Amino acid sequence: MKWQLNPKVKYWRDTILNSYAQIFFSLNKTLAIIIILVTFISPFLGLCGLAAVILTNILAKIFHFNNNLIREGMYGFNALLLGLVLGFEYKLNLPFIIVFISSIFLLLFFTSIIQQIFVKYKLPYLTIPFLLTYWFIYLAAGSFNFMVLQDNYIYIANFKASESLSSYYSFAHSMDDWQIPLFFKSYFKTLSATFFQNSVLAGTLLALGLLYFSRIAFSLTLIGFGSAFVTFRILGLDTVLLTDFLVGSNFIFLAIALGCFYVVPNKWTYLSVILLTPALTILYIGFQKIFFTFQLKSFTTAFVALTIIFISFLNNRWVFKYIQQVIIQYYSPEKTIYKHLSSTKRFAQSHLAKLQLPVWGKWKVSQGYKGKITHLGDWSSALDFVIANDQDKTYKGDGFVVEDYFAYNKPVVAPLDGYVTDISNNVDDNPISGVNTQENWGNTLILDHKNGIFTQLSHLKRDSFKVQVGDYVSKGQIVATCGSSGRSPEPHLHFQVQLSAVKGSKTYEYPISYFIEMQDEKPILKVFEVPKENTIVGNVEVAELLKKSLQLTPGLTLKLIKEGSDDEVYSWTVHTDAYNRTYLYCPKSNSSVWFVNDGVMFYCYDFEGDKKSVLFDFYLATYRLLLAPYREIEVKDSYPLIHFNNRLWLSFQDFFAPFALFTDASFEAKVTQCDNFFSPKQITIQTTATSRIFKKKWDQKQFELQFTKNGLSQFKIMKNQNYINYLCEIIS
Amino acid sequence: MEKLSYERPIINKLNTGLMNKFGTRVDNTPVTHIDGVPVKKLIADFGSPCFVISERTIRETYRNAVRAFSTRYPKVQFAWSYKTNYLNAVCNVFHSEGSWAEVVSYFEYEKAMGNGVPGDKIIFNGPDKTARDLKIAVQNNSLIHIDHFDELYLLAEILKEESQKARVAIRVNMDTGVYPMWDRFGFNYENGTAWSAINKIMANSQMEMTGIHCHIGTYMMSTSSYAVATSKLCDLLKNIQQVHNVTLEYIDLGGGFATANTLRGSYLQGADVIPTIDDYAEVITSTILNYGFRPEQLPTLFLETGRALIDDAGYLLGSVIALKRLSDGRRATILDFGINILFTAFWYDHKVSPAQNFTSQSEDMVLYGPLCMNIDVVRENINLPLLNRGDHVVVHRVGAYNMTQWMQFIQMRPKVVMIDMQGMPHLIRNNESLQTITAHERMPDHLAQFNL
Repeated sequence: MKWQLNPKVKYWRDTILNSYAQIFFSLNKTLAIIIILVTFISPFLGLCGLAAVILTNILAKIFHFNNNLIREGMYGFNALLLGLVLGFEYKLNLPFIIVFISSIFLLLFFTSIIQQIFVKYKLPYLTIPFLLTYWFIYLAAGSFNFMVLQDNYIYIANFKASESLSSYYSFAHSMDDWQIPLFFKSYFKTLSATFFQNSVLAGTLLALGLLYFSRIAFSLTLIGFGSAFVTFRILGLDTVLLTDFLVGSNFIFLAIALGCFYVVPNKWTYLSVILLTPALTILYIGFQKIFFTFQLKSFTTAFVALTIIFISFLNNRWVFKYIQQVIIQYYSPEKTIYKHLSSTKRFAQSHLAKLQLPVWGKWKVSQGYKGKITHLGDWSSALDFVIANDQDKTYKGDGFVVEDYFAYNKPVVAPLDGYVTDISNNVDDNPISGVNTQENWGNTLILDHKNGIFTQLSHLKRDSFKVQVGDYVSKGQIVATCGSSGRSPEPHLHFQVQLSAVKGSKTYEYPISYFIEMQDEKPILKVFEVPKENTIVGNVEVAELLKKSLQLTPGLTLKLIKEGSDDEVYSWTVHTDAYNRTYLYCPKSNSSVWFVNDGVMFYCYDFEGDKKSVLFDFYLATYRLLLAPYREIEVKDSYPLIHFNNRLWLSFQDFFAPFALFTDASFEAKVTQCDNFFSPKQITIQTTATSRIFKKKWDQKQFELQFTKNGLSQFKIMKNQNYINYLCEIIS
Repeated sequence: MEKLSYERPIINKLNTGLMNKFGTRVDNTPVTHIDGVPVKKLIADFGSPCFVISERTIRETYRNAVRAFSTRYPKVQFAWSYKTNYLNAVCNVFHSEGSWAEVVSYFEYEKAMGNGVPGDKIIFNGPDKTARDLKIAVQNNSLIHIDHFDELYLLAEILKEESQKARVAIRVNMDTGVYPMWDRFGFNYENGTAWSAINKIMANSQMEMTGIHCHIGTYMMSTSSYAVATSKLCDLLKNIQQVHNVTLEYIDLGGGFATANTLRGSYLQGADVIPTIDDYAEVITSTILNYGFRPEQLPTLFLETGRALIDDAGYLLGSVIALKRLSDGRRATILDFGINILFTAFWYDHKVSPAQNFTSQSEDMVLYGPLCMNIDVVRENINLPLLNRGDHVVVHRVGAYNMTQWMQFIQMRPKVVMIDMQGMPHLIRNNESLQTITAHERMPDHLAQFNL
């Protein structure tokens, strides 16, 4: 058993560390520890910062603010800046303590109200509470006679002199006189100035911390600072100004916030960071001038203002092109981009309703979208279906009567759950080659799917309706049979999606979620596509065994026992989270896999936790499984790159991820054994995870999932000829 | 110009004014090619007589049948009825199309295994299964369709020594309104023996009841009897679900679908009276769909139709040996094949076509086979063009049963040829020779020598 921290201790450790790391939009513990070390270069400063963080968080906890927000340091990071600035400006005495404590209260009040207001507009509040609190205290403190300014606040030289006596002061500033290019020296100094320090060593440590936290964030800080440096030069501003306390930090914060934190990093966000720098410079100088009237420092006001303005600008768009905003915050630009890339590739259409084909068996699309015969103009997004034999004939015998046609009187099924809103059942079948343009649509059924879309099925056989207006039908239920009524020279089914319940409305382009297309007599799986003209298509024949085995509903437990060692047992429980997403949770490794079973496909779409856990292997193994035992179909997909990749190569990849990918992590699944297609009792699916660098195979893992009558029965992990087998069982 | 062939003189009775529904015209068309291969070449290469099977026709017929069912019902599985034609090449055409195997004897079972059909995709029917047969079927996880109580008890006895469960179904016979009622196979529905067999199986923990089977007859000309049979099987399925809380996987409607062959004594041509595969499919599937199963509990529909899938693909090529005038003046033609290899001539008035061009004259005749037996009649009465010795004929729709029920009587069985999808003929069964027959004979020593 691993030694585990008391959850309370863990909570407070996380709260405090996160309050530090949040300054750089991070939850990275190593970075937090580096920041703490840096602040303690001046012990009193460090102490004030820590005290402010702890006090604020205790207060927030006492007043029962959101536990998760406290833990993420959302209340702490403003307090840190406030503590640091107070410790920097005033000497310790009784009035200071009183002001310090009340400033914590003030800060929390400000945070609370600003948070409430800003959340409504989907805007971040950044360091506004800190700025407000600080300004008021600074303005008021001038009237408090017993508040004493630090000497060093009046003269920087004093500050240096007062501390240069201690031995670690010289250590902290040991790098200051090194011969480093001015740009990098300024960059390091700017970083340390964020925490009211002036040490190159501190800046270097912070830079390393940033690099460790995120390659993307690190490179953006360099780009942000670099463009500020260039802008200052061009505009004729002194670049030394940047290294002043919380001045250059504006540019660094902006680069992280708008380059990779609130948006998914890509070339456009990098470009916007560069283009926004002159604007930020103007804002900074402007604010500086305004605030100077009140003898105030604007600190990060320019960054806060520009970030909020820009995010509200992004929010205001109607089409989210070029720059995508982050919806689920992982506090890691790498995670964000890899998961974003993978999910846009995998689930670009997952918001669409999952329509099936409205027929059974294999049908031919006789006229597709924009068909030349009748699918014209506003009615171009429609499909016509017939049945054809190997010779591409749609009838047997002479084909003089409708009964000769294969399609005639064949069941027509509902493509999706919905209400029957309209049935017209008054048109007789045409003689072959006859068309009835008076009753263009013939006998027609319209379904309202209650999600904004309607489907229309036309040319049905008179009196073949199995449902009535008002009935609720479920996907796949027979509603009528195919006929040849209306504008139909031979029996066929007309199918269209539309946006109103009126018969013959204009059509709406809409894909079929999953279907099989026959190519050279082999089935090919199509996902979210519109069937093409002259293809032979059919629905996916789902195996109940697979569908039920992977129907992991909340409350169930998946138990795994390692073959050969009974004491290695895992119990994974199924839960749903606040967003109604279902996930498997492994308490042993504190890991979770989010998954979906939509009746045709089982797929995992996220993993969080320990990548050495068995649950992680399960995630890799079940990344995308077709719930039908077609042996000819190989299901392919790719993982987010953070999930299956070489670590060293990945960190190189990180720098370039917003622009191009040279590594690749792919998934493949194949049914290797199935005893019976229609009522299988035993199915084995083999899946493979492969990582490639420059298209060369680097690493591979294979898995085998065995399903029997009782559900998932075995899970085998194979790597380099070795294998581990887990016996699985579902407990309700 | 080609030399005109000799045509012997005939005297035909002139029928004037005698009206009948069909007039006097006879539709004889020469069949000179099968799937693009000249009949002359086939006979030259493979001898006369010989059977020819068209792979293209098999696949087309099979796909038509699958289409007829699968566009009406979501779960359909065909199983090739071995007894109809168990030439390995024929079986493998069906298996390659996705068909399972349906066997009725251990001989057929071994043949299916030999063809590479997995044990769990073999349906074992028939009244004759020995202890050994059952044991092997259990071990191979095959579907055992129990025919009678003695088989049920025997299986129970065998299972005591087996660790494995047996997947079983029962064959049910019932009154579907047709005569004769096939009540000699399986357990009767109406008198309750079927239900009693089901109860016995349910009580046996080592038997897993997977389905229910019936086969109501052969060459069934009425689809309504399938509706009755299907609905009775559905009744059983539902009752089993309610009483025993077991959902069976499949119902097996067997076969018995008719082909376009004309039955002997039938007034109308076969093709005009038989239901099409679509008619059977419509009745069977709509009965199940309207029965009221929950969509996810719809049973898989098994079909074991044999005749309807292979009959049209088989041809028999033969030659005229001699022409005769019978005592009553009728013309008789003697062919080089008879009921020894065309067993179905007992049931059908097979369509026979000349394999070469002919003139418009035709005459009524009897077609005899080459056997020294009075019963060897291929057609009692047929109107054909004037044939000469050495002319070739093609007999249609002989794919079913002939190549399994043929007999070796005074002659050896001929070659069987399959024409593949590209029109290439392949020998799939060689003709028998004296050696084939005598190899199995044994001579007692005291009879080995004699002097005449």
